Amino acid sequence: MKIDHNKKEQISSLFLLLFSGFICFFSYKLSMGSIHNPGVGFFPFYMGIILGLLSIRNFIKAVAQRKIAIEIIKTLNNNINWKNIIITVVVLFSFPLLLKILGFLVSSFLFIAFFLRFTKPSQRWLVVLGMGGAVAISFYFIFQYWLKIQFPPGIFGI
Amino acid sequence: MDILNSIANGFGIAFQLNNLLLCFIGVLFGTFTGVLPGFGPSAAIALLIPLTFGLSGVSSIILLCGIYYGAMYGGSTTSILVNIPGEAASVITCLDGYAMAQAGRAGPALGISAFGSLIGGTIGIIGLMLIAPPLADFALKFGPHEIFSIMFLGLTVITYVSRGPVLKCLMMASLGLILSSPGLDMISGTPRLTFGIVDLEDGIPIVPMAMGLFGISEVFLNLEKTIQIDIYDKTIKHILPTLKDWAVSFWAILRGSTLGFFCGLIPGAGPVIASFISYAVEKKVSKYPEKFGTGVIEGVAGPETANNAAVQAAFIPLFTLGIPVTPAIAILFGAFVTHGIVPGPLLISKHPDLFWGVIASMYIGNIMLLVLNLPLINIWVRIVRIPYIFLFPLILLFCLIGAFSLDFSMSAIYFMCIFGVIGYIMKKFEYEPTPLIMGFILGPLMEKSLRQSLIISHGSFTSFFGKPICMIALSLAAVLLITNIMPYLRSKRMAVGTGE
Repeated sequence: MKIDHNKKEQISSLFLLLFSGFICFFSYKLSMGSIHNPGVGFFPFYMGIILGLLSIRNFIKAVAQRKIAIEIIKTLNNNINWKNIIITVVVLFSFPLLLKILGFLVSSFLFIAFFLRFTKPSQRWLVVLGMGGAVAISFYFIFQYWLKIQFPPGIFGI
Repeated sequence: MDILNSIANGFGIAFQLNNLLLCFIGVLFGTFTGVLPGFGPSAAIALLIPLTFGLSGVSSIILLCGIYYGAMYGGSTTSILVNIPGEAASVITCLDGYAMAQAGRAGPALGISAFGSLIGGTIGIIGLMLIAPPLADFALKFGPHEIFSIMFLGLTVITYVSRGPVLKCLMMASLGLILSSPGLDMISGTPRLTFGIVDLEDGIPIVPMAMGLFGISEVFLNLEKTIQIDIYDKTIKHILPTLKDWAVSFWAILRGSTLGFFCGLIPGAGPVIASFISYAVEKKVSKYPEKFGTGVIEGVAGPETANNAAVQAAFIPLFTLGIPVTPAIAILFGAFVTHGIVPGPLLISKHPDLFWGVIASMYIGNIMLLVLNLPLINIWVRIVRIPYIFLFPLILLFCLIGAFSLDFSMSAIYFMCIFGVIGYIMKKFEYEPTPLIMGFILGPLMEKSLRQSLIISHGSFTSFFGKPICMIALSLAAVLLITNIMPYLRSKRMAVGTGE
């Protein structure tokens, strides 16, 4: 998937324009106050206006540049290991749930082991289990016992 | 005399066993992060903040400052030996440092880099010690008008010197200011832009945000590709520079110290810009500029001295005005606030132990770094060889634990992950996170001072122009903004002239 530079600029500018509109709308609904006595919504509203104007400017610039030269950026091409990134995002967002259910020791073991096994280049099971276990146990002692961080005990109570 | 007594008191604090140990851990961890590519001091400081909750304010800041200046030392080692800058401020060192290593002169390159760093760092600390107290006294006279104007100038400079187009940096600074808005209004106490989400009532937490934008997003970027490293397998000999090396590096080190110190004072310039300017100056004044890039020792001595001097000087705006001038200092600002200490003009008078204790620890830390760096070089090189597949799960787990330990809730983890993804997308779309985090940090103070100024002056913006400091700061900001627009206008006129 290749996305040219100007398209990237247009997409991001449009997104930020929409976001600034969203902020302006909700800030305006709050008390704006007056210039003599600015209210709660005053600052975010005008910051939203500034962001909106800058986004429009960036969008126009990207459209105008398109006529002169289209620079193909190879940053979003097929060489990126998307599988690694998607797996990482999913595991990161799942970790709090895992921590609540299984407790720190088991969830940190699974966390390390999963990455070692399922991201490329995947490691041998011996390395996966050994490193997962060693990291989980040492982190458990450092953080739970030494630094007294109260992790949820989970169903195993550890 | 006052300064001598204060610094003596500071050394008393810094020499306490626990503070000495924390200073050592800080510089050691800092060197480690400096050595590791893709893991900068910003992420490292953000990671360790939660672990400092059980410590006193002085001890915590000693530890966290140690990481920042320690990273500058570590960055040069890999630049010289394997041509991989562990830290952005050491990019320029690759040019002559790596060439020297290839020619069998890795030892002198590492040696002059370490000694230059020590000298630059020490000069920076002396400047910090002498300039910060009177500047803080002067800043005490600032009202909301002056504070807003200086913050505005700071934010403008940051957008000016950050990487990437100024327009996009301005967009990110505005976004940072907007993101600082959710939470309870500081004047009326009314919740705003929280959308009924309880976790947003205290605002977006700075530490998970910084960990996401600088740490997690960097992991995503590194996961895209495999980093190939040329292993340096030659024996490193003769680390101590010869008299001839010293003779040619002496002026480079002095120039680097001065340049670095002034760059450190400018918001946004910091150690990275300092190292680049120093290299350019050395090349300019050299009798053999054509040899730069082929292994000239001044090309290592100047930039490495400059980045360390800049790091120390960067603490001056933080300690005296409460303005963070680099991303790492911005995260340190968050650490101060987390410990209930507000950086700014009152810091030195309210927390003299902290100020002088941290300064004294910087002297000690810089000497520790020299002792650490030279004999342990072979160990640092081995660390670079650890495959990333083993490192990144550890970094991520460390980030998760760090975020959780902030308030023992899962919301900080979610904030961190969300900003990790946002940071990654921003980098893919070529937006810099630095102006965003600076806008986010300066936002509350800017808003407060702007609203107070408008209330005091009955809504008149002209009141800003009746105050000399405001006039200077706002004029400088205007000049910066106009000089950015000028090239665009000129190119437009040329395009019209050529009929395009």
